[in-house]
Amino acid sequence: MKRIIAGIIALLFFFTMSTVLNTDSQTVSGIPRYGEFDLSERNSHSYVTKSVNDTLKEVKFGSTTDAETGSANFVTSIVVNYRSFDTMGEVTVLFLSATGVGLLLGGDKKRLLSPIKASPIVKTAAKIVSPLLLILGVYVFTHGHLTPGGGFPGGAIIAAAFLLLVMVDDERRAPAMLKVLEGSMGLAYVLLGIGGLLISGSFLQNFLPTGVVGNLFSAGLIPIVYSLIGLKVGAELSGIVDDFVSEGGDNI
Amino acid sequence: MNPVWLIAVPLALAFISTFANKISNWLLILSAIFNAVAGIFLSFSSGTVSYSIGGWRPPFGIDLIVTDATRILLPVANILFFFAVIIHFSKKRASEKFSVVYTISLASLNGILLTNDLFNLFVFLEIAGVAAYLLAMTGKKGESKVAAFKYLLLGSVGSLLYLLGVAVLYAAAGTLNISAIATKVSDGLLNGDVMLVSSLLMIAGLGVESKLVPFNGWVPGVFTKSSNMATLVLASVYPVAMISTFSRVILAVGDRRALDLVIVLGVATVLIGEVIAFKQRNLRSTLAYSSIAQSGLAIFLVGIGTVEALTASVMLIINNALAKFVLFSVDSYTTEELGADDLESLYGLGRMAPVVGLIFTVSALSISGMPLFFGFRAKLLAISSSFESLLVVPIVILLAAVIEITYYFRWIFALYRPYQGEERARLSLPLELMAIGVVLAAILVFLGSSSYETLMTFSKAGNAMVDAIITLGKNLIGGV
Repeated sequence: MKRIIAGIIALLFFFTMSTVLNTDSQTVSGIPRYGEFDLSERNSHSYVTKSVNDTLKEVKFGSTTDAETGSANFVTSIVVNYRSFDTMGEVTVLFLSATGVGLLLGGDKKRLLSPIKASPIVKTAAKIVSPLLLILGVYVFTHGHLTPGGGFPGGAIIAAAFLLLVMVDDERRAPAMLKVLEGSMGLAYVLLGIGGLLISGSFLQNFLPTGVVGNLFSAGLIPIVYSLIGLKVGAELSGIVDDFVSEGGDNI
Repeated sequence: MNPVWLIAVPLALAFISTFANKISNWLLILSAIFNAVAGIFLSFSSGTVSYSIGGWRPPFGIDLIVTDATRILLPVANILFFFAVIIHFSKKRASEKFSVVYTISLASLNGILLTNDLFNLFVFLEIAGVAAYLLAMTGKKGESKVAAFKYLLLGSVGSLLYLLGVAVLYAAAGTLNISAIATKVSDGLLNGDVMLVSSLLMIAGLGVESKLVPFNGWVPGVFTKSSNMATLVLASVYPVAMISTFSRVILAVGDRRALDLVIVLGVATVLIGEVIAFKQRNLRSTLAYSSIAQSGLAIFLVGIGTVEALTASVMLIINNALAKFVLFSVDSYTTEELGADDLESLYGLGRMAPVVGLIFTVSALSISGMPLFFGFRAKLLAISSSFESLLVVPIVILLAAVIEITYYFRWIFALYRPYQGEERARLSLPLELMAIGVVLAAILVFLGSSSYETLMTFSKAGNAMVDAIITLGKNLIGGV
């Protein structure tokens, strides 16, 4: 019976979703046909052309100076500048989830031992690979305004480096400093926002020069914010890994 | 004052408390005090003001709006949160573990009340949701974890449905700003089918947190199994943000046909909630089901959509928040002092602790809508405005009100009935509970018996609920 009801609901859902497709017309706007999308009618057009507050002009990689947001990667300019407030919220969601995992599972001094002993080869390799991963993570989040990537994937790569160490070494635990790193990075993000409010008059507003589009030192607050997010996410996910291997959780 | 402080300060303090566990209780108290004061401060001015975030003008950037409705709801939510914190910390055995969660939930509730952006609202709903799942599992027994898990499943599916609704709307409208979309909707620039589908998805998504039938399966479990403080926050502060946001979003970007569905679901919620509440044998689950009914009452008025109806809706939200705060704290008090909260163990409580009995009685009378109390005016307005719809709506609402009055009177009588069991130890009388209860009860009586000029604030709020967002869209944004 449950399966039949689930099937009916799924069919209804499919039907409702299919009714809205290809509903765009001259007079009323709906969801356009695939590939017939007029970007210029949408908000995102101004994000791509960096013309929300400025007037529309050509932006050239490597030569335009002081462009709006100044980030070469426009996904980044949306995520960390135009809609930075949402990103702050997402960071908080992740932070809260990590806190929840910690509250439920973490807090024990002893950790679970892995059932299989890692061979010396794997151990040695992990010790070589994980610093490299760490460097890759740092690279990904510091270049978030230039190349695909950014704080969240960079942080995940850093946490992967920690996960590798945890898998091969039964003694490995997260350092206590991780909590401090996590909290202070989040605090720094909020403080940057408040700085924007006090200096430029709007929360999270950029108050640094945006430089030349495409340079490493450009885009104002974006690289700073992405570095904060990268470190924070790295610390958070490593904390989650650590909570999962701790022996707490039975006595909630 | 820029309202973003109400979000930024609790958030910053929450981040500090991750590495300063010892003072996290103090940081929670600090943020609660700050937000209560700032909320009051915001309510002194009037009119609709939009504050952009990041310096990007709306509709391109995110903006926060303060309307006449926010100016009432924001202080109410923040002050009740502050009261909950006071009651919690006066007990001296408050643990520090969950302080961070409370602090973040405070920030997210303010964000929900203030934001004027559909996706930003989703983010804050997520934060508030995750915080609520964590708060729901704070109960002593394992049952609270089961209830929290159920809540987690329903809540995540709900927020995903909401997100899908936003995505459908965004694909058509090309903007996420509520005011901008509302302007497009009122100009008839959006396809009706798209609007209907997105409204249905949003009603289902927001309906989970607003306790609308049939999305409210989590409520009884969470409200009865969770810890006292968490229940207090989830039952009195959360609904203020969630229900008012439901109204705001559905009124601004909802389809006309979907509003009829809102009436049906709301009325069904009221009826089902009241009937099940009538059958309950202990106080806390009665209150839980009564909460469901009260949200249904506040929500079906959104479907009617007139200024009068929205005024009633705001009044009902506030009446429910104030009264439920007192009722749930009295319930916590009785479970702690008497060990149970079923009808028989409540006998004689009103005589042993007269002040507790008094505040319970006042709140119960107000929530069931007896004359001289605030709830009466709210319900009267609700019923008179529901004549706009089919005649069956006011009839059902009246019927539900009769059921509600009956079971609340049963609890009030139980409180004053002589107790004939074994000898009880003297009850301790918590000063902070009585002080807060008396203040809230006095507010309920004052609003219920004051002149009609005092209630002008509420009709301004109702007006703002209907008009503010779209007027802002037309003035500030113009033709997008």
